[in-house]
Amino acid sequence: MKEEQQWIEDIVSVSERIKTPEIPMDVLQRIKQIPSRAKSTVDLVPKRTIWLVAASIAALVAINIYASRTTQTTNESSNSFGETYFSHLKQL
Amino acid sequence: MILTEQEFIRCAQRNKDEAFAYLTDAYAQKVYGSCLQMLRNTEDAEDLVQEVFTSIYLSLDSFGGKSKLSTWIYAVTQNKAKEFLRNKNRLKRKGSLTVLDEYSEGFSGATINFNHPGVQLEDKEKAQVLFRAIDSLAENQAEAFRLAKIEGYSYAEIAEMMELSVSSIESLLFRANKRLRIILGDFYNKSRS
Repeated sequence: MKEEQQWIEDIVSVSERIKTPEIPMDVLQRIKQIPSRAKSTVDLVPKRTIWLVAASIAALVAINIYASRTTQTTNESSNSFGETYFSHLKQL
Repeated sequence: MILTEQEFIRCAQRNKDEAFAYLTDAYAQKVYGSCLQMLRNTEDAEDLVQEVFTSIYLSLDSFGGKSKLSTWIYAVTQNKAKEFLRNKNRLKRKGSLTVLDEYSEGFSGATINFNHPGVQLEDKEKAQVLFRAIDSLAENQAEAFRLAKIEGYSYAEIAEMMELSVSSIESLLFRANKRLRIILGDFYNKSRS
């Protein structure tokens, strides 16, 4: 029993002697390079392309707004023509 | 130099790269230790520690100082480790070779093919038995034991990491110590019968 207890304590006491492991230098270097790597990933898409895409989207939105406004005006004018025509019919 | 959470946030707002350099110097060692404990494989731990720091760098802006820096970093490490193990297991299942999971066999005291770099040479065999026994504990007991006894975190830090009170951590560790001795006692008797 005493021998068993001693063996158990011996095993458990190992946890007190485990040191924080040293991180390998090459891994540490790679970690330190993360900011520059992250930036180069972002730079993979050239700024010119980003601006071109943004401009295309803006142009598309503008065309859509213009088209919807034109459609509204046409509808309004056709409605007013209808009202005039039918009110004339009523008078007859 | 140790920065408080608020000082760190100010530093990150001023210069993200400088804040990241501080984190690397202050926490790389600890994160690597945690990765080793979670994965029990040196190469995997080296890959994971880089993934953890990449994730930290990309989400530096989202750290609001609500928790301690160490707690936030530990949470990122834990999530990444779980994701890493999930992917590894998925790859194992997809593979044509059937790989036996050494951790699923239960505690037998058999040696694990892992040499913890922080273990002294004369303790290697004993450490393998200890790790096996820790793996046989309930998940939360094993985590608390690992953080307190192997990674050297304070009870307050562990309480924050595990989102429990300090007294809960104390009782968790008390139960873990008791259970660990029972497991080791069983192994001792089995190995000698």
